[in-house]
Amino acid sequence: MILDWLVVVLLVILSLTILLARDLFWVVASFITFGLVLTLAWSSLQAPDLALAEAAIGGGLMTLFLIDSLGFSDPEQTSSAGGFPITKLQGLTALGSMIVAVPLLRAFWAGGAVSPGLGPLVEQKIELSGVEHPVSAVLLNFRFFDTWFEMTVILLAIVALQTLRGRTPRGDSLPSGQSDQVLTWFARLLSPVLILFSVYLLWRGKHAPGGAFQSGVVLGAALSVLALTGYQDFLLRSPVVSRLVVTLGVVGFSGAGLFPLVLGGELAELPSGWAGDTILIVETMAALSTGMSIPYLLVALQVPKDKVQCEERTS
Amino acid sequence: MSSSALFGGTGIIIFLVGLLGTFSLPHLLKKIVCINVMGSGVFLVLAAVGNKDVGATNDPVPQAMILTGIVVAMASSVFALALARQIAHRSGFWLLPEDREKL
Repeated sequence: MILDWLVVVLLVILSLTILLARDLFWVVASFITFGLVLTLAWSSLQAPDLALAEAAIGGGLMTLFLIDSLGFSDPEQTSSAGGFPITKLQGLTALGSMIVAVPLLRAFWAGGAVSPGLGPLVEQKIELSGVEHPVSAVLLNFRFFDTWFEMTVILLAIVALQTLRGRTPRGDSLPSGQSDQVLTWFARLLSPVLILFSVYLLWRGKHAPGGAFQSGVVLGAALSVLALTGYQDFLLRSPVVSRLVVTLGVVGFSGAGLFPLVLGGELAELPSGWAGDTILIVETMAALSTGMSIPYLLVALQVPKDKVQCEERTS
Repeated sequence: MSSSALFGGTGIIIFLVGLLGTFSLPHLLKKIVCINVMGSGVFLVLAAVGNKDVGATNDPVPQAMILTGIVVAMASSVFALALARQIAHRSGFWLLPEDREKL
C-alpha cells in the first residue's frame, strides 16, 4: 500500500513537471520516467501484460521517437516557447474539466458500484478460445476485431508517414553510429538477446502474460538498435521483402478473420477446433510485422537530407 | 482506500493535468507529450474499474482494451510527431500557425 501511494505521488509530480517545465529535455525525460512509474502502477493493479507493454512502449519506444525529435528541434527556440499563456477559452476549459472531475473523483472514492464485469464469462468460455491466458484469449479471439484493426492502424501510420515524407524511406538517412566502437559493440551484444527474448514472449503469451505485441515491440527495439548503429542492411537490401514483412500482420489477421466466411461461419469466428493453431500463426505474423514496423517508423520520421540542404541553399 | 480507487482517482487527476497542458502549452512537442499523459490517465481509470480488489480474477477485457489502446496511442503519436516535425521543418517553429501570430 505504501508502494501504491509512492507510485501515485510520483505519477502526479511527474505529470506536473511535464506541464510546468520550461526546458524541453525535462519534459521528455519526465515523460520517460512517467512511463516507467506507470509500469509499477500496472503491476500493482495486477495487470502484468500492461506492465510489459508499457515498459516496452511508454518507457522504450516513445523515448526513441521523442529523443529523435528533440535532436531535430532547434535549441534556442525550445526555451523561448515554454511559456504558460492561458487565454480565456483555455481557462474556461480547465475550469470546466475540473468541475467535471469533482463528481468523477467522488464516485471513485465512494467505492463505486460493484459489478462482476466480464471476467467470469471469459473464464467460462476460455476453453473454446484455444489459449489459456485470459488476456490473450480476449485479445486474439473474443475481441478479434480490436486487434485486427490495431494492426491496420500501425500500417496506416507507416503509410501516412511515408506520404508525408514524400519518398520511400532509405536507411541511410539515419544517423550512423558505426564510428562509435562502444556503441557498435554493445548493439552487437544486446540485439541477439532482445530477439531471443521476443521469441520467448511470443511463445509464453499462450498461457501467461506476454504475446504478439509485447514480443513485436521488443523485436522492434532490437531492430531499431541495429538500424541506429549502422546495420541497416535489412531495411535497404531488399525493400520489397521488408515492406512485405510490415504488411504481414494485417494479412494474417484478415486471413484469419475472413476465412471462417468460406467455411460458412461468421466473420472473425475462429473455428473452435483449430483456434489455438490459428492464433499461434496469426500472432507470429503480427509480432514479425510489428517488429519490422518500428524501425520503419523511425526511418520514415527522418526528413530527407537532400531536402534540408536544398531549402538551406534557397533561404 | 482500495488500490483501484487510488489509481482511478490518480488517473482522473493525471487526465486533467494532461488536458490543461494540451490546451495551454504552445510548443507542439509538449502538446503531443501532454496528449499521451491524458491517454495514460484514461487507461488508469479503465484498469482501476476492471480491477477487483478481493475477487479471484481481474477482468481481462479492460486489460486487453488498454493493451490495444497503448499500441494505437503509440502509432498515432508517431504520426503526430511526423506532422509536427514537418511544421517545424517548413516554418522554423514548433508552433501552430495561430500560436505563431501571437509571438
